[in-house]
Amino acid sequence: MKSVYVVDYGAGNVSSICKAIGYLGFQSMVVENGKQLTRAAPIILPGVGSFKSSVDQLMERGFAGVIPEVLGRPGFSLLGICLGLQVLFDFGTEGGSTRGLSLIGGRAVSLLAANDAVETSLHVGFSGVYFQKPGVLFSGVTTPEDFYFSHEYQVILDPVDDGSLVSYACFGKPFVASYERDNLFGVQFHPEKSRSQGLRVLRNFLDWEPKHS
Amino acid sequence: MGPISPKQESEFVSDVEGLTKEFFLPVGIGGTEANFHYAAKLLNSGAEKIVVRSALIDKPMELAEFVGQFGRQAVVASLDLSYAPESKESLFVHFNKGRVLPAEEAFSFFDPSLFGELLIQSVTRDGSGQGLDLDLLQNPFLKTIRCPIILGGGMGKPLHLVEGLQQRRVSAVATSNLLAFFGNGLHEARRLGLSHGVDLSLGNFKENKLDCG
Repeated sequence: MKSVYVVDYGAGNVSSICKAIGYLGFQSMVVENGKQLTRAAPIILPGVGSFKSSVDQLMERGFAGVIPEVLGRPGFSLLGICLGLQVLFDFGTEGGSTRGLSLIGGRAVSLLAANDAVETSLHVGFSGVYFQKPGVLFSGVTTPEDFYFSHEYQVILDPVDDGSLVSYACFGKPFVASYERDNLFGVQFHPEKSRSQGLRVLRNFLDWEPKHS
Repeated sequence: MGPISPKQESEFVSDVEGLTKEFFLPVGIGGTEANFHYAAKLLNSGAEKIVVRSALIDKPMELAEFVGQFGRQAVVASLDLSYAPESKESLFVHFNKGRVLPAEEAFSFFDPSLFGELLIQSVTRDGSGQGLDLDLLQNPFLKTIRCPIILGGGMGKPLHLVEGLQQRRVSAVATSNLLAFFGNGLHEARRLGLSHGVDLSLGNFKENKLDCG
């Protein structure tokens, strides 16, 4: 049975992720420290809460330095979910400006700040995700298909074209719903709460094998 | 419902664990006196959010601490509302232990930064099947709320779902009547909503059963 790391840094519903992974027939290994990322395997970085406290925890638990390093090694891949996607960026503006892991150029900003077409600050519920190419994550998924979102912040790429494949959802205006480049993946929605289509996205990531150099 | 015993807490947490093992949709839980240690266990067992009512006025400090840890998207504020018998001008909010406060007084205690969604239920219409009370949305305080609103209480036929979701301020509607007493009611309500141009998740329906796996 293929194993999957699930990073527990006190900012995510690890239980839900592990259940989805188990349902799909994979073995989850919950890790609380970066030193535990020893052998090559997919890594899932969940995230619920605040950008700053999450990054602080990632640093304190040794993930901030280790994750960029292991992603350069054969056999590793990473999927950031919701806040787990946002912390991969250069900066987050929640609670002031906080440096992220800088694996993706750009920043996480509040939905209200980025979007004057909405009245509510929280995007919660099912929304359609639109993509031109399915890539790895959306293989076998139609567009648009609905996924569950629950977030107050969105990510903005800078540069916009960094060779990645992105999909979009709409909350007043389009925002990035997913990102994939090489062995780095991220989704703003919660695939573990998005019914069969969410499980399909999760399976696509878990089944993907990084190319060995 | 009042406080529950540690044994009851443990049993319910176990029930949530079991439910979310093969149910990949967001789960919100309410119905007991607020105990935020218990709420944290529920979130760590697979629930996404807690639904709070009296804690909004009785335990704002504890609620703030909870929001600090889990984020406000993990909290749904529940308002049970009714009118005075003699006049629809006088609105009241119902809390636990039989407490009923005039809406203006109740709302003066509310801190909108402590919840991510607002569930408004009409006590008068609840269970009547007469339709949602759309007039509640005209309340001056509710008009200032900048978070998703869920409207409930009174849905008895599919058209009521459409009427609720056509309101600009309403992000979702809540019902148990359509599910419990009308067989295929939820399916029919979704079909009707889609035919009226309501932006609804498509879902996968198999023999009247929502496909969550």
